[in-house]
Amino acid sequence: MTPRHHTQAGIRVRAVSRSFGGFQALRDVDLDVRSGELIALLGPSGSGKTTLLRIIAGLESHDTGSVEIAGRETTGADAGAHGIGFVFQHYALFKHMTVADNIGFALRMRKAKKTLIATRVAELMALFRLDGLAARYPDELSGGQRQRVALARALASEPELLLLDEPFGALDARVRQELRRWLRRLHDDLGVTTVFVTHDQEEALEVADRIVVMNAGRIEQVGTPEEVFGNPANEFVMTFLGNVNVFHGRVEEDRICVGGLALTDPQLATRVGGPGSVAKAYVRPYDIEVEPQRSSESAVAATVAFINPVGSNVKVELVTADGESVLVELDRERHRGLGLVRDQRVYLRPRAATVFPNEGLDYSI
Amino acid sequence: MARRSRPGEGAARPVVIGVAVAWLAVALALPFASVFVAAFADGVPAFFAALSTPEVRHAALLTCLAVLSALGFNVVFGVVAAYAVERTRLPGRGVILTLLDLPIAVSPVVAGLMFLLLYGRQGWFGPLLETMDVRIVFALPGIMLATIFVTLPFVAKEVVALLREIGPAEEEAARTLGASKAQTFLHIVLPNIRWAVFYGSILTAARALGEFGAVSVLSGNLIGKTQTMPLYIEQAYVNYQTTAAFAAALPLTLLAVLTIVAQKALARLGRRNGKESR
Repeated sequence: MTPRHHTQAGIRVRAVSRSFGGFQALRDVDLDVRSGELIALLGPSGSGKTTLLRIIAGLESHDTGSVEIAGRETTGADAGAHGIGFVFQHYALFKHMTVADNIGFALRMRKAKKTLIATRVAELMALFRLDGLAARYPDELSGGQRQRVALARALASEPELLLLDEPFGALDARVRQELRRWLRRLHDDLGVTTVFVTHDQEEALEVADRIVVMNAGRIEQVGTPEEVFGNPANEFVMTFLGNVNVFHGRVEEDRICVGGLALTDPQLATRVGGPGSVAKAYVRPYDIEVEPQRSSESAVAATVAFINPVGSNVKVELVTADGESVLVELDRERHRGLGLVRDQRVYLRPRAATVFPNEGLDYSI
Repeated sequence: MARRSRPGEGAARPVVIGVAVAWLAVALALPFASVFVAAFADGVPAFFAALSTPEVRHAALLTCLAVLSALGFNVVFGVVAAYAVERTRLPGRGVILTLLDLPIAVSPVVAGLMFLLLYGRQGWFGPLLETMDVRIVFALPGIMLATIFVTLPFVAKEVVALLREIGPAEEEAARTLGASKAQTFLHIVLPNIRWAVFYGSILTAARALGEFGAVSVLSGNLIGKTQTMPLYIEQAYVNYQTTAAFAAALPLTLLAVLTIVAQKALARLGRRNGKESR
């Protein structure tokens, strides 16, 4: 069976703000979603990502600004008026209806012909691997099956836009992994513009074309997974995506000096002030070389505190002479070669760093 | 699994159970049995004779009308009020919630007096009603009004609690799937709250059947005219017509038992239904 190609819609969000009582959920948010894109809204809880999704869906109104879907402005709180499929965090399946009735709901509401509903429902049940479950009720399904029913229901009326709120949040890790890849394939097959909310950076990095990193009601950065991970716009994005070590230092010419270390960042000049200014250097755990002997001036002594050999990389926690804790990731081969043991004294040499000015970091995770 | 001993376990246990059973027997089973005994004290024919007088039949009719009016009004009002309180941003939602506590807090006799003060001949709206030739006090509308007032909270409060528990997600889902507000209410809200409405209705019916105070004040207790079953029973009893009083009391007692059984059955169904939401 060939899946239908959905018509696609882009989204244009301009200067949207929303507050609930005294809580400012969104502050002056601008966002463009191109048609056919798969976008992740990523951020900690309370960052406004779900509010933004609900405003796009018309489930929530916005105080100021405008939202356009496929060129039509939405006035807020008019869900259902524009072809949007929405998948709720806990699925929100109609528990008094069978799987088939759930999936056919949108078509029944617009009074489609019974035969048409039956064909479309059967088609979706096959596409979403729900065969044989037509007469079941939601409480008789597994978590993964409920999730697929919710998706099938949202796609039944062939929406231009698919919105998903923490789609995999309530599932266990194995099912989540599987559904993630499957969502990506589904999106590629159907081509429907898709926006999903997640607090799981791994999920966003793995699935999305572009990631919108949100924090405290603002968008911190929009970019491809490579862009936001490899070239973070600010400290928040740097620390929210993946593990990172932070060193406090002072700028000297084209370098930042941290204790005995001199670190370089190609964008140092554009990001921080001139020589003498205080800055922070962020170093990813896999960008630190561990050496048994001091091989250069720019290395800092540290003691191995903890070794976690589980996973594709070996994670080593070390403590520097200043008492700062540093996380290092080594590939298995390098780790075998070094033969590290606890309390061993080694030298750390960062290979790359990202430097930000030493300003107060305004976020909460 | 290791069980930790709780109060009421061990040596004290038989004593606690014994006291509870004895108390139930004295407070519930014995009075209940005594109604049967007294109703049939003069034999079965006397029981049926006592139940077939015109006064009893009229009282039963009035009680039925009171129950039906309370059910009809409260199912509609309860659902609408609960929906307004839980699912809209209408101003005055807090006021509705407070008003729902009023009939429980206020003594039924006082409630009856309040209506008398409003709609009685000397009341605020008395002259107006008289010119329009509408009788509320000492007439059927008064009985219905009193019954509706005392049963006002039962359906509404059940539905409020359920709507709050299940949350708006299913309704929002229906809206995103293109359902209008009316369709959402019909296809999603009503099926979801049906057990709460049934449950509240049973409580309403039970309360309406037995209401004495408010009805007594507002109806004027005119024999064969505005006398409901509870009023009839009380009057028969104070007039030493013991058989008549207990014969009339028996159907009310049986209905009460039926109510409790139905209530328990529904509570179980409702629980199972509630589980499906998670």
